Amino acid sequence: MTPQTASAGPAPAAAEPPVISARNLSLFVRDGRKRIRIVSDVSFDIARGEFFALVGESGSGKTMIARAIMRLLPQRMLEIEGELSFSGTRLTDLSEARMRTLRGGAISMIFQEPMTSLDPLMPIGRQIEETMEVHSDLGHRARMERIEQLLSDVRFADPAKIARMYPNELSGGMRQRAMIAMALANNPRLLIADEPTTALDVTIQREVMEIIQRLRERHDLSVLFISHDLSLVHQYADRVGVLYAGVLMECGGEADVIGRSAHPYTAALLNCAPRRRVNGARRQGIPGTVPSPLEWDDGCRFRDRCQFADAKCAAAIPVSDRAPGWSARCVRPLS
Amino acid sequence: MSALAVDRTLTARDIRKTFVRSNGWFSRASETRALKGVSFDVEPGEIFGIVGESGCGKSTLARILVGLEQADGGSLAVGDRTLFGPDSPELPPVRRGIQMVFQDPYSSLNPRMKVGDIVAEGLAIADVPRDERERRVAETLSLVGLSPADSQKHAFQFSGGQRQRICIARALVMEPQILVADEAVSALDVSVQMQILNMILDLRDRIGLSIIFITHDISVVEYICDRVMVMYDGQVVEHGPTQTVLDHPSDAYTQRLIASVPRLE
Repeated sequence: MTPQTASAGPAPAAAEPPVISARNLSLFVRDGRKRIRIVSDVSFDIARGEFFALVGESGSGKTMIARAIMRLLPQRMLEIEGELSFSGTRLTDLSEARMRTLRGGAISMIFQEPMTSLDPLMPIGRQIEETMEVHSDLGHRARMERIEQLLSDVRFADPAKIARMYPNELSGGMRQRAMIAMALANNPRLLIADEPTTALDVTIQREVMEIIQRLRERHDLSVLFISHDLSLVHQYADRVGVLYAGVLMECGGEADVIGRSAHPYTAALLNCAPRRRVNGARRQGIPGTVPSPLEWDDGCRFRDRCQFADAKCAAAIPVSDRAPGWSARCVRPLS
Repeated sequence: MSALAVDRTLTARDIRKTFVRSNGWFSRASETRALKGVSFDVEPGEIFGIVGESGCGKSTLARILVGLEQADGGSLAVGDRTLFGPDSPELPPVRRGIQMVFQDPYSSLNPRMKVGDIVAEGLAIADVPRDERERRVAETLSLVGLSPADSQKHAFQFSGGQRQRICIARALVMEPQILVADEAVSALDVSVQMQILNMILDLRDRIGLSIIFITHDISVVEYICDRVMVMYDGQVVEHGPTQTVLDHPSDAYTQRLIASVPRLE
């Protein structure tokens, strides 16, 4: 199945709750005695088997949302407000012990720099085995077979040999593939991929993306893909959420959000992507810079940089539906 | 230094570089042939792209051009001035008229220095008198879209894009004939990246600077470069006008590289 046909896939059965559901999600970090809001009132769903991309520039809050889902930071460091559910279970209600069984089990994550997530002193196979010891009751022999299967799933020609190798003996792309094998060891329902190909060369990026795409289809895996790269997202995502300064500006099907953007920020971001200049015509960047969390108010946070902004934009902006499953937070939408 | 009438074409011929790494007493040293004879020309006022993936030798080449690294063989000249070659002594970096901008605008600026001092440092080393230094720093800061008053601030007070402007000002204040930008926009957010790319186009149009733009990003090359050279494994596999190379790549590696780039269209 190509990414294009995937976006028109069948809707999930009505009875099944979405794999991830965020409702009015806000996140706060602490700076001394101050409580700083870094994500404001974000709502989105990720369906079973869906490739959902969160796109945004640095500081937009995309990585923090991923960390909140994994509850990677203790409550006193990252405070979660609003609703965040995984397959109908509220993640904020779970005990830390229960959360540990989810992490690396039903929810797993891969990061930008695989070398920092791998243990340099342990062979690849042993590291994969370790995650299975925690989450499954497979015997040693079954685990060994599974490791080879996983490594061949991520297209290593000689999985037994790779299993005996150490991370420093692998290239960046191979390490990321080994990370994916490890992430899939316990048949997760959700794979969170935080900029997994940003540090890789394009030819390797394509290989890794195709592996993710193929495994997703085979295992009916949902993917939360975090990226700053719109063209990559365009190629692989079913649905896209565009974050700016902690606000979900626009969210919907890939063809709607990227094809006929409703939010001026999405359109401006697309217009920034460098491409061929015809007759020397320039593309416009977005003037100004992203406001820091300390400067945020209730109004649209993009209004100072938006060419369509007027007085209405300083008031609180509600989310409005463009079509079923496609929404934007803008009082002057483009389409 | 900015003599416009003379020929300022940069000519690189058969540049070679091998890194030797010792593996201890009992093993043979291993060799990495980073550059296996690279030749190219850069015309005055041209933006010349060098693309390739990690390990292809593009950054080693950049470092050799500015003199941070010595080539093992080959020659480099700007017009009739030889920078290095088989029968001439290597010209020190300060006298080459080639300046460099690096990838990471965070680690390449001294956090303890004021912006004005960072930009003026090269001039101070070259014994330029104080008032001329101040004048040139102010001029260069406005050229890159910063205000002369910014010279009193520290680098940490600026965002990534503005820091990259400071780095470019530091290079331009020396009035180079050629600017080497090694992945200079790769660490920036897309909205800021476009501002810097447009500024580089402006600089070329306004002061006729030649720019060697090294990147892994094909879409950036497409936007900014007049000509492009594709490198793989220390060699040039293809070069030519950007449009020709991207539309009709003749080399198998170039074809694979271009096909791998995700596109919005």
